[in-house]
Amino acid sequence: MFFIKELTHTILLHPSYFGPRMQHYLETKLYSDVEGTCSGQFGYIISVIGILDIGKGTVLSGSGQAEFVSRYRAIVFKPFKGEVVDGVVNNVTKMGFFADVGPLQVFVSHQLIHPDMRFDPNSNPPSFASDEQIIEKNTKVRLKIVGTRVDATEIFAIGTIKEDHLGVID
Amino acid sequence: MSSPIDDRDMDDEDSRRDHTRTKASNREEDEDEEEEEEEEDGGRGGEDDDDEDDEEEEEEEEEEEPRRKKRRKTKTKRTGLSRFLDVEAEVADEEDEEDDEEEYGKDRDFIADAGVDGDEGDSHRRAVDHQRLNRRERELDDADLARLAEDVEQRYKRSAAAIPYSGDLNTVPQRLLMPSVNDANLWQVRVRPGKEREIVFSLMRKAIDVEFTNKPLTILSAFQRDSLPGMIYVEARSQDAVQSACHGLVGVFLGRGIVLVPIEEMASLLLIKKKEFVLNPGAWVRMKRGKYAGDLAQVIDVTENGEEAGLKFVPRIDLSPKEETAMVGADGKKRKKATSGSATLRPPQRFFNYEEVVKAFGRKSVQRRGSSYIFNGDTFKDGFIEKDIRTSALITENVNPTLDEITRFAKQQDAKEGRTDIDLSIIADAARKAAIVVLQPGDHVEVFEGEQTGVHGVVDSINGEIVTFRAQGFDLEGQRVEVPARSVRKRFKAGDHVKVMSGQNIDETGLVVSVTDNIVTFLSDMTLQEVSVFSKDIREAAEVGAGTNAVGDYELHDLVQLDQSTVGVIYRTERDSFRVLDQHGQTRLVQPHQITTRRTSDKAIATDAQGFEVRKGDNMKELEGQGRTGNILHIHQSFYAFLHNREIAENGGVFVTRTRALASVAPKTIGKAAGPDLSKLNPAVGGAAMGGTVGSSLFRGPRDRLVGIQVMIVQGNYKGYVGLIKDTNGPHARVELNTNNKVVTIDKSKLRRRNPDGSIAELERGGGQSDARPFMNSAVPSTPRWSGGGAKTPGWGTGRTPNPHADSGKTPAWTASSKTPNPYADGSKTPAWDMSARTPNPYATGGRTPNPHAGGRTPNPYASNNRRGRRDASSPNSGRPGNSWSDGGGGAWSPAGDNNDGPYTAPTPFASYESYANTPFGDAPTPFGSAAISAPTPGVGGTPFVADTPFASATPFTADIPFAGLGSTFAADIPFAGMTPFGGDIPFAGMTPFGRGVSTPWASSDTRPMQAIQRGPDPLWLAALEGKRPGLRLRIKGTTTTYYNGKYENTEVSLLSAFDSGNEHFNRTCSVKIVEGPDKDKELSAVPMEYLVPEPPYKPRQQALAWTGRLKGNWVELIHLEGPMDCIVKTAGAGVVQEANPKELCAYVEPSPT
Amino acid sequence: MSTPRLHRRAQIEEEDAAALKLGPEFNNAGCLLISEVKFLLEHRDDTRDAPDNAVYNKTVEYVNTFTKFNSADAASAVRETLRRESLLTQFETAQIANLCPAEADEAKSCVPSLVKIDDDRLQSLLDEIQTMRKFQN
Repeated sequence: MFFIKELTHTILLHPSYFGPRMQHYLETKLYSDVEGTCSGQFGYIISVIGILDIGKGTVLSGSGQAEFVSRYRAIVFKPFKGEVVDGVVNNVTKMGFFADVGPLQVFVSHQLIHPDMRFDPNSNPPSFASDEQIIEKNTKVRLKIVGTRVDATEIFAIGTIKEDHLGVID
Repeated sequence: MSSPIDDRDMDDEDSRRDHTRTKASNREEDEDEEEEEEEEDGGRGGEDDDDEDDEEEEEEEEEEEPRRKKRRKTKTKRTGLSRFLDVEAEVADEEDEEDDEEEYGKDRDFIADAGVDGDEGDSHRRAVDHQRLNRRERELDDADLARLAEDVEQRYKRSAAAIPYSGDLNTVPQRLLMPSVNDANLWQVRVRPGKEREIVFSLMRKAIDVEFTNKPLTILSAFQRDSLPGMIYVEARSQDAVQSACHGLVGVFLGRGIVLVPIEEMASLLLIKKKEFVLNPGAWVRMKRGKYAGDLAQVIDVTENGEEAGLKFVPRIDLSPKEETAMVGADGKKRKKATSGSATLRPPQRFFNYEEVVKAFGRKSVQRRGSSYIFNGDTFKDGFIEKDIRTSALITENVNPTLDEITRFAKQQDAKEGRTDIDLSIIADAARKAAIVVLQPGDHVEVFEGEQTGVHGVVDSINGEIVTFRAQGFDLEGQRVEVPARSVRKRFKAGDHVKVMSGQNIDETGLVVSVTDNIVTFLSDMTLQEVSVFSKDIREAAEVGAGTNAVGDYELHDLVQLDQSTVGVIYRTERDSFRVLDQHGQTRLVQPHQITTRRTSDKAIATDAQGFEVRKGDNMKELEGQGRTGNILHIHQSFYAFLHNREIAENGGVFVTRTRALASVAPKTIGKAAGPDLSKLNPAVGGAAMGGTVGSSLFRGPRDRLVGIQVMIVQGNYKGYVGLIKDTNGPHARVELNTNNKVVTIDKSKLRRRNPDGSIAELERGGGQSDARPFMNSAVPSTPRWSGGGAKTPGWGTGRTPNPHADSGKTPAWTASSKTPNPYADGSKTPAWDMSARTPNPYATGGRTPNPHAGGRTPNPYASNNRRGRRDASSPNSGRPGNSWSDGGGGAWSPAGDNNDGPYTAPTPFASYESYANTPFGDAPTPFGSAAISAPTPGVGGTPFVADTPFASATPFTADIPFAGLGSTFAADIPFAGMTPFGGDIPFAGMTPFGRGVSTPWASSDTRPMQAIQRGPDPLWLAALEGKRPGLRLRIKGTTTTYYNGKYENTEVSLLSAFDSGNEHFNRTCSVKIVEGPDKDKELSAVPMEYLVPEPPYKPRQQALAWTGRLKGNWVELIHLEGPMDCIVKTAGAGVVQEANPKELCAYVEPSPT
Repeated sequence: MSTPRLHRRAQIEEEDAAALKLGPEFNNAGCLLISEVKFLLEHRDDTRDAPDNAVYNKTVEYVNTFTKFNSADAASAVRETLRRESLLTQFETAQIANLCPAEADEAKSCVPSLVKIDDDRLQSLLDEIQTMRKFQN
């Protein structure tokens, strides 16, 4: 699910950057620091929509650096367990398939695919197929996230299409 | 007593004994009295106990043994039945009464037995016995119960004096049976491990042997325990008794002491832990010994006595029986040796396959019986071997079958019977015990058997076998439920993140994809493979597993050297081995010890298909083959790249390809790396410090400037010879003599530079020898610096002396920028280097940072000067600082480099170039360039000598206004021209730097304005200036010691006329009019051009002539002066308003008509 | 010792979209429809370049693929429609608009928390959204 969220980010600024272009430095830094990152708490930070307050610099004793706590508003994407999402199949293996849901990668194990759909090792590209449906690369699927794993730079999720109203969509 | 042995066999025999006992029990009472009397008699007669007042029991104990032995002996003689010995031994640890009873029984038994296999006499006697038995039984039946009770009471009154009769033997409190201080002690004796049992039996035999000698053994019992190897225990009253008993027995280590066992430990030594061996069909066991040792087997059935179990397991049939088959044919011996052969090399586990076996052993060897086969005496069914094995040869505890093993059974069953599911209850059973152990509070469990089946919740507490958990769901929500631990199992749902706590996949983490009863399948975080484990082995975990990533020193995705020519990348780690993909794409299983070393490819660089550089961490795509994408893990020999892509299932996502077949797919930096690090020094501001170091590693110093110059040898054998320096090595030079092409090595101090005109000059620097520097003699013999000169670098000494410029206050920037007044002094070995390191060198930084001009902020005049040059340099090409760097740097450098043969070096302290050559000098061309020019500045201060040199032109740099140097260069010219001593000085005479400057390098100053700026205005700028006209404002500079002794130094003048002789040997002079100060309007004639520097315009609307730079030759009008370096001007003709550097301008004030 | 772990675990357990448990950070956060995200990304601040990272690029691709409404107006009209049903939370609103289920039971199976809404009411909302989708442009 995409959210719009107000977040904060702390930037340390070296004294050599103090000056009229400081604001610019800070903004650039903020963008490059947060956009495209991922955390377990907030999910993926897709894009900063606006900077609400770049913050008042507090000079730290000792180093002379200034600390800015910037508040900004960003589009974030965070998957939730139990959420139903649409995705595009990216890779199919005999174990299951991977689907891209925005920045998130979701693995759908063959155990969580309806048994009617069988892996067809001879197909090219590899696919899961039943009589009516086929799942191969670039197929759009609707899936339900059943679990997520968060590490430092990405979130990984596993999903299921073994329920009603899930599976290939047009 | 003799040896009770805690063995299972004993248990069996116990029961047998019980049986005997019941037989005999009927007659025990009668016998008892007799027996006891007998005992007493025997006691008195047979043995003289020290303490006759001892309790009855003890006496009995002691006496019993000899008595029994005696009896047994006689019996043995009679029957020869050895079986009794066992029984006898068993009986030993029973209560006395029982013993007696038993003995009676045995007696009977024995007699009966004897009868069975016996002769006529025996059978007759048996009949008599029977009669007697019957009679006695009848008597017993008739006996008065009261009398019976009396008997019993009487019997126990004595023996149980200390122990109150408690009615039933079985319920005698255990503690009352515990040994007390009054009992004999137990001694621990060390024996050879493995011989314990044997020694106990030896002791028994010995006791029997010496029983009736005059020195019978005085020990009461001896026993050993299997669980305590290397020890036997002997019951005796004293240590001596033990010692004498054990004396002479092989394997007893009396020397290691006989240790008294504390009373409280005695009981536990004799405690027999009862083990239950309830083998149920379906249970898992393992083989203890033989070909199948360790193999898992499943129990099919168990014989009634529980001694044998029918097992089903995977056979190990050697399908390559070698010569054995031949042997069968030859002598029909039925391959006796087959077993011995297979014992050495255990055949692998493999399901029985009729065809294979027939092929290997012949059709006859296998018989078919219904659905099973008989081969080699064994029955095979469904591929398994079915065999009866004694339970004693099985491991029944801690079997812990792995899922692999079990699925093996299951699969075969699937294949044969079409069954799809494993009988999980069996596995669960096996796993259950372990499961209890691994439960922890907080685990999510569910009940899978019993009334509460299906209830699940979070474990609250575990108390022994009882688990208390808080139920969730249903109506029980929140209630506490207590269930036996074995009835619950951990509960997981798809999507849980779990970690494996034990087993083969330990530490693996992943997301659960499915749960089938107690088998959990999860998707490993690391390999993205599915892994199935028992739920007992996993628990929920938030962290991502890392544990299995490393084995020994090696980690997942390490590049390792396998052998000389093979490297590989670890793509999977197992418990103690790796899966490695080598550079040829082969995978192999490798143990840590097979790895030679770990390699790093952090610095490895290769080129991709487009010729771009690729490094570790780049995201690349294969152009050929499968077109895989991946992140470069390692590069090997710039040819092979190992890439990783999680989405590729094969080899853990690692694959190898040629770097040439790769192309970049994504910008190299993803995410954070893109932004500048604002918490570090702004590179635009700092960077000078970096400048030096960066260069240092990349460039080598230029070759020695001495190489290639023509020299004359002035001393030694070759004195007078002329040659070329081929090479230098420290103080020596290799000189190729012109005369005979001979190369000689000769001390540099014996060499003099031979100029083209034949004049001789100092080889490289001032040197200590004053005779080598003629100009010095004449010009400035009194210069303090020179007098203080060292052997090699005379200038150095002066470095410490106060810089005259610093004194004069003209060069504050100079002193500020370097720590010592003299940069040379400072960097005694690497002046240029030091300078560049300390002063912000815009060029050094220029190459790396987008803002080379930043250097201008520092107070270093060089820097500012350079900066100006830099601006000029970059102006035609301003977008590329890097380019201008090389322009400027090169430009600055080249004149210095020319010094090889040029006049600059020879006569000046710059001869210290040698030291530059050994230093990163070459790396910092710019500072060197400026240094080369400016370095001698200090000398300018008071010495005409320095002023003589073109280097004096550096002076301006030390001042605030670089152009100030112009004056001094002109000044330099004067002594040059005018001072005859220098005329004789070949370096100067022959090569006026100015002349050179005009002719070659500076001619190109349009393209490389750097040089011009670098060196200050060309002393002849005025002469060369086109369109000069009276009214130009100039300033006299550099005349401190020359022209009028500096009387008019720093005076602004207006040009009246210029006289250019066109000959460098003659004056080029100008007539000027002073426009300020006390001498205003005074006209000076014949001011050497060298002393005149252009005066920049300072007020708006002032007209000026651009004497150099971009606008050179153009007349402009100053519009706005922004600073010393920036102004806005309007060109006279076109009226274009543009930026200019005031320093490139020369003000013009129309002379008032006079 | 076990207490903090239990506590932590309980927190992790809490996130479950089916029960509208989104964790402390997102329970009240503003949900965006895919269409809105697309619009926002297309109309971002022109003064700087679009971030060039995989997350951003994949997101752009994703929203372009799965956007259901072509314009910001359409998206806000959908929001307006769904706002009429006061029981709907932000998350549910966004889910409905993103998935555009056709039938009430489909909606309820995709977004289990919708059980609180009467089938008929839900169906009418869904129909309305389908119509809007059909007739945009």
